Amino acid sequence: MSTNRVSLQLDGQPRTFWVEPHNTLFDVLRREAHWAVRFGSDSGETGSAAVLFDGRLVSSEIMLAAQADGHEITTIATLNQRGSLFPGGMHPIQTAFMATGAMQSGYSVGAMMLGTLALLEATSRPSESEIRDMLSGILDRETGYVKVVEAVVRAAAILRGDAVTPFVPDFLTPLTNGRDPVEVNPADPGSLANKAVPRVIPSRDVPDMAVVGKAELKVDALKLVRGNSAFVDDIEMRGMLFAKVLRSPHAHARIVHIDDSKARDLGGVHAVLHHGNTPRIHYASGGQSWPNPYPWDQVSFDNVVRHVGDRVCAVAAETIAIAEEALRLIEVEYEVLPAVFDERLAMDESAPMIHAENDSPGIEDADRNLVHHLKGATKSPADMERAFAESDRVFEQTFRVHQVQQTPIEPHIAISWLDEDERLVVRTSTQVPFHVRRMLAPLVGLTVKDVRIIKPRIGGGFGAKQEMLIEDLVAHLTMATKRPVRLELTRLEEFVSSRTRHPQTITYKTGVDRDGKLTAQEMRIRANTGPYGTHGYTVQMVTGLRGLSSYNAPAKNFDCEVVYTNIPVPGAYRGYGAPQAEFALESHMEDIAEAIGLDAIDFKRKNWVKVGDPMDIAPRLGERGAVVDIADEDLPRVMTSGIEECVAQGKRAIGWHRRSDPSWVIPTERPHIRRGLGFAFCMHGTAIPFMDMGGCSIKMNDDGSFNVLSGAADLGTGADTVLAQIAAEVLGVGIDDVKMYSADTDLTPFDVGAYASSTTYISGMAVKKAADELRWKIKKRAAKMLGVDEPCSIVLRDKRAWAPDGSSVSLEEVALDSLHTQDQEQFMGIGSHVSTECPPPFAAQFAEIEVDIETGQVTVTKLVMAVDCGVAINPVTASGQVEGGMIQALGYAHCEELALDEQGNCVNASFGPYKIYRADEMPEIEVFLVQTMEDSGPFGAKAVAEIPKDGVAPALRAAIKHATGVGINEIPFTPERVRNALRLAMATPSTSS
Amino acid sequence: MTRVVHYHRPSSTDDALALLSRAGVTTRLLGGGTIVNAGYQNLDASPVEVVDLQALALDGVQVIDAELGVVAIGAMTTLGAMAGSSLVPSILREVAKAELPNTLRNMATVGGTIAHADFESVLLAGLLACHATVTIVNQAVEHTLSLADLLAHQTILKGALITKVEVRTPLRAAWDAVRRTPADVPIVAVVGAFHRSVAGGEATTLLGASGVATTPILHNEANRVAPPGDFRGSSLYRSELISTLTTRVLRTLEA
Repeated sequence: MSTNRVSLQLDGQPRTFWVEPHNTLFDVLRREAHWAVRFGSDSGETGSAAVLFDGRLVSSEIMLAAQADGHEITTIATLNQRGSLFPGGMHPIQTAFMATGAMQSGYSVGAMMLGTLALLEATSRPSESEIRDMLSGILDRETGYVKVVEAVVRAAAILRGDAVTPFVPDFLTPLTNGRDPVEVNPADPGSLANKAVPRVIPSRDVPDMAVVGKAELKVDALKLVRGNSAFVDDIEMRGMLFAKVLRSPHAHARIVHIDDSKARDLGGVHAVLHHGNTPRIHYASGGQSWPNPYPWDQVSFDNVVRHVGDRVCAVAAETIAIAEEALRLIEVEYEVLPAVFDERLAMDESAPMIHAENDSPGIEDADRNLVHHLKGATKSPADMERAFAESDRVFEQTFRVHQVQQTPIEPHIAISWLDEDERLVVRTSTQVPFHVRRMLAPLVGLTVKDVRIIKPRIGGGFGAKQEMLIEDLVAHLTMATKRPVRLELTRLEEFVSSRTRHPQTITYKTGVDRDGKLTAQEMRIRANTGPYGTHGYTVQMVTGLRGLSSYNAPAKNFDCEVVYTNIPVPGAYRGYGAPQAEFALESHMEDIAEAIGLDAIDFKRKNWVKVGDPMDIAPRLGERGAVVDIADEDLPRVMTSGIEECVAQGKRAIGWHRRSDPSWVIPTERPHIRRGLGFAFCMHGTAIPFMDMGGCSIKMNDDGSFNVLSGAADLGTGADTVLAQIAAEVLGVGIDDVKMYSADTDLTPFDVGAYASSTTYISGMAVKKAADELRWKIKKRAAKMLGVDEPCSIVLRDKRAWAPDGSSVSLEEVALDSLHTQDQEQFMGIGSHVSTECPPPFAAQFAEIEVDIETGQVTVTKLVMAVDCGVAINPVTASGQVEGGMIQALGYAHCEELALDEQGNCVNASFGPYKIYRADEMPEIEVFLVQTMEDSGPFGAKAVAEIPKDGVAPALRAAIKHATGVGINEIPFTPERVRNALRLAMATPSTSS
Repeated sequence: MTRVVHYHRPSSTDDALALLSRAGVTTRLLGGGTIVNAGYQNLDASPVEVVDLQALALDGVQVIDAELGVVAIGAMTTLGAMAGSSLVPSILREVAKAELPNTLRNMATVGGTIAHADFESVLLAGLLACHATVTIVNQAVEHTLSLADLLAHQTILKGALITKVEVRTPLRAAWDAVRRTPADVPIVAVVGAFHRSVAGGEATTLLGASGVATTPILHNEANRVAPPGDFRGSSLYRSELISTLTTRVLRTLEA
């Protein structure tokens, strides 16, 4: 192999590199520490590694370095250089991206800003269409592109010299009294602010606060817009080896023999691991609290593979190329076994037994592929039967939801090494560092104290990283080689060897009386957990919880069979069982309303839970076992709900009155088009009561600033910013004086991690408690310094401690006094929090669509979500969560699906074939944050991150049904499926397919 | 990623062809890199040598016959450049933009797109509707043939190099497609172009379609309609769409 001399202009400087022919421009830029150029896929379709090539935005992963010879390459370094000419040392593009909350994880923000630079050099006033086209090649799984577009508009304005106003929420007047429905005036235009601006509907119950509720800049924005080292891969370690994994080509097979001799003999290979040389220790990979729910049906390497993409061997070598060559040299003899993919067939007599081993604990009935049989009811079987029998009408419907993948743009990546004390350190892109430490230690023969997990910045996770997925592989290889080892999944592996959402077949049976009140509701599920249990238990429990909590019914019953199949492994995915449930539930309720002649919203309103209503199924579906007998007064209850305001705001924004306008539904100029509007009621949870726990410690520094050490895992959600705002509010300082660090199992307190919509609520309360403790110490010291007898009378504000007489000392003076002058003491606060509550956020989801009745193509033109998330600690990051979550949910409903062939091979394991929404095809999006004051949360907060995943699919279905009269009980609503449903409906009198 | 073991950047067509004709060496021509470097032609991961054509001055758009609206597009012209060139017929600017997102459109070349012959390429359907002819060089001999012929007989490209494509600017054009989302690769697309009469002949309407055969086809190649079905659209569904979309496109052209 030859080497090539490459001379180019890099950020305006002539540079020369020697490269191998296969080296890409991406390789060279990363080698040169251009960290903002980040890997998304080998085929360049994520755009996360895009740079400017002669002024054009291109994907550097698929450009050979040699191709760049003689050309000009521009990276974020150019923005940093030019930024020095502007106030604050930041280029206006960087300033605008920070100000608008245009980044969540920020993994691809470098590419976005470079595209902006090129666009604004071509035109000073780009249209929205031009901006969206510029962004079309940069996939963003997080923001929904709304605030990114706004950032570009804002940057253009700043560069033109136009005045820009602060990017702050638009506070709207409530339309309701918070309790009762209202008729919405169609002529009311609502908010006239740019759609990126969060609309906040304030509650008089919420006090005015200094930092909480404000659009503070993200505390981690600087490192992202500068392109600093931040993510797992942004370090280099001397002597590091590169790992690759040999994956199963079969959906189900027994490994008869592995010959790894040629791989071991290959120069540069340091270890080859497989079931023959690795201890067989059982575990469950789901990142959950101790003890992990059964079954423990995984081992690091098994002698049976159970899906295409399952692990066979892992190799560590000196380069990726050598590791890949080693994989090709490993000879594996398989005995191919029959496979089953459809959960509806998995328990058939003819289905193959997927876990025939006898040493995996906790499988309910391995012979029948039954992993769990979950049950929960508010009434006895006889009472349930009686409730149905006494109902005026009983409705039963079956729905099917499919398999999708989380697709974080940063794939799973981990780097492990032994530190100077020979302790194992793993730097990994994980949502659950503390769970990983506990679960990993026994697999590699260590105790918890000998393992350290570092979670740096994460490029999105959405549940896929709520697993111990690859950490055991790098750990085994490091233990075997005593060398640092890096493993990054390819995009193909991310699709087939990572985690996905559980497919389910859901049957609802509901009894209704003549007034339209529910009398009984039953949910039966056959759920597909693929070949491993991992989150199979808890996700399905949440499906039942969400599926039977939204509506009051005197009798409720849940029955769920969780079964093994040979599909790629399902696991946690943002929403965690709720999106499946809500699609089925809301669709079912929509159809019942039609059948009994009621308006769907009125029917749902008549039955949805309101303030004071019990959530009676919740105790019966606990992760740690159901409570059978519970007194009515002990049931958890809804304490806050802003749903009526959500409905009113949403109806106004979507133009709900057009539903009854035939000329809108059937546009005369396009006779093959039907328009529709749909609604879905959404109710979610906030953390897992009695289980989710977070810890925090805060210390005061010499200058009156604070370090907050939190075990919470910000995966791009803005959690660090929100936690800093909570601490700042308590301590009477600005957010700039709070420095966040999360998470490192050696340094930060325990936290269960980022899942279950728990971070703001649980970790936030831990921060608040720690800050409260610290505040008291400060007040006592300040009282002493000010000669005040009652520390309680001291108020912390504006970074000073104030006495009632108006005298004050600065927090810096307090800190210097406590650290250096008298009665020296390090002021610290420690807090931890576990909740006994699970306050539900509520939301109203609306969708506007067009259906081409000749082809079945559905075009989504607008989505509106109004969310009651309590008090949004930061309205910009909260609305960003809703925007991004809705677009993920839109993909689930509309276009995303993991497609397998008859052998279980994924046929669309790349972006494009696996379709996620791009910037240039987005529907209009509008988000409302309806305040309520949830007393159990920090400063009134409830969850916001997951509820946006719940309502889009049923709202789309309702809109399609409004447009065409046809209800479709399976997602996604792809053209052929919709066309077939329309044809079937024309051929039969039924309106449901 | 393709396993590239040698990178060549010849400065003449002859040198490129010589590199391409070497026996016993797997060689790939490199346009922008969106196909070769992404590994789409190298699934077995065998080592290849790449011949980068960027130094051959094959990019750019040129008007050949202003009266007839004939335009030549160099094979190394990127789809981004096509989409942004006022010399390119507007229908082709549209479909070039629709073919790929910005980051890839700025790399992919029209020559590479023709060589790849993706059956779902809406750009190729557009080129077919615009009377595209392709000039190739093989063994130092230049040939020009219709794009339709080239797509139907792709072995012609073995050992050859595409240098340019010529198209005729239609009087009117329209296209329609069915997709999962507005910027998705069309499941089926039909591009129609109404062309003026040439040399006393009749005015013609040409229809190109993607997603209904192993390559994009002209509508008069009915014998080639054999849609490969997949998870996005069955063979039967695609067959039905071509008729629906053709009717719509013709209606638009007539309007």
